[in-house]
Amino acid sequence: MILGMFVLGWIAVNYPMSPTKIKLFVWHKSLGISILILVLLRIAWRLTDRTPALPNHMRTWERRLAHTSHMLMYLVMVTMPLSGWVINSAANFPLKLYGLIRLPNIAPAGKALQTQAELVHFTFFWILVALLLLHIGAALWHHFVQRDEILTRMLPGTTRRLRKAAD
Amino acid sequence: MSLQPAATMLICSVFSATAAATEWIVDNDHSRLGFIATYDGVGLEARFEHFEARIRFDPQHPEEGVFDVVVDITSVNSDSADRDEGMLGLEWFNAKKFPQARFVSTGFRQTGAGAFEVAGRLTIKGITHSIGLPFAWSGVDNGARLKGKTILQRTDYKIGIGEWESDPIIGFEVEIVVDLHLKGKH
Repeated sequence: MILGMFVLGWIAVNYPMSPTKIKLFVWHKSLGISILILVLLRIAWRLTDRTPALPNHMRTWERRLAHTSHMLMYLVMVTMPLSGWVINSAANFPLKLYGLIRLPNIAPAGKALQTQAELVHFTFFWILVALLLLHIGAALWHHFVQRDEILTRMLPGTTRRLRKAAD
Repeated sequence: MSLQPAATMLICSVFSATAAATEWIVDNDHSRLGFIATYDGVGLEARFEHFEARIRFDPQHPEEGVFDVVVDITSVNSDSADRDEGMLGLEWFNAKKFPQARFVSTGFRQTGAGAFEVAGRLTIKGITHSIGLPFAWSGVDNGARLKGKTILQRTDYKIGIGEWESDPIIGFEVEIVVDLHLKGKH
């Protein structure tokens, strides 16, 4: 979904003004709000559920880096749709989810606010790209270099097995 | 209902030589002239900050009325700087070539108590069509208020050409909204 957002957002911004551009943005906005809802659910889940322990061989700095980058990813995944919503509100465009559900504006109309929110949206986009590269790179490193279960345990159905093994 | 307009007409024609329709000045701070378009099915309001309206109207003698309104297209304001700029572009209002729109009345009729309709010629983007604008006229302390609305097809005036001409993402129907607060001219 997030990759889809990158692509949609990038094309929409650079597309010449046309009905297609508006439709690309309508999809970008609908998907963005959907991601916001999913991320909030995920955060609630993460806060209430037990997170599997990191492998014992990981050093303190590795643990810290893993923890910080995860927290940052959640922060960015919330900030991206929220700043997008602010851009849309400040630019005074209506927001309708998948052409069906009307959502209110969350900020007053104004060019200055729009520009600031655009800067946040754009900056956080690049931060998210960097975090994702780090995340994917780290997962592959764990799998192929460290040869631990970090990557495989992200797959569905493996958590229960791992938990059982740990008990 | 059938007799009253006829009777009014008769009385008016008798007195028209003596009763001059009142001339009004628009109170710009409290008046609004604009439109509601739709974006993805949701209404979007815009108003024109500058317009010159010559209004001669006496509700007792509606047939003597004269409306001549010149609108500065470049003063469009939809609370979105980007969109306003876009609207002035070639595909929409093409404001460089057509900076003004104009409405000139051709006739009035009473449709009810305090309710009238003005027929007139509306020119936008150099294209003229006859339209009717129903409006309510009410006397308010030392002045009057004129409230009216009507629906236009934007494509009749070539507003939104190219792909916009056939794509309904920006709705074809546009509601014109007029709410003028008027002061008597002495």
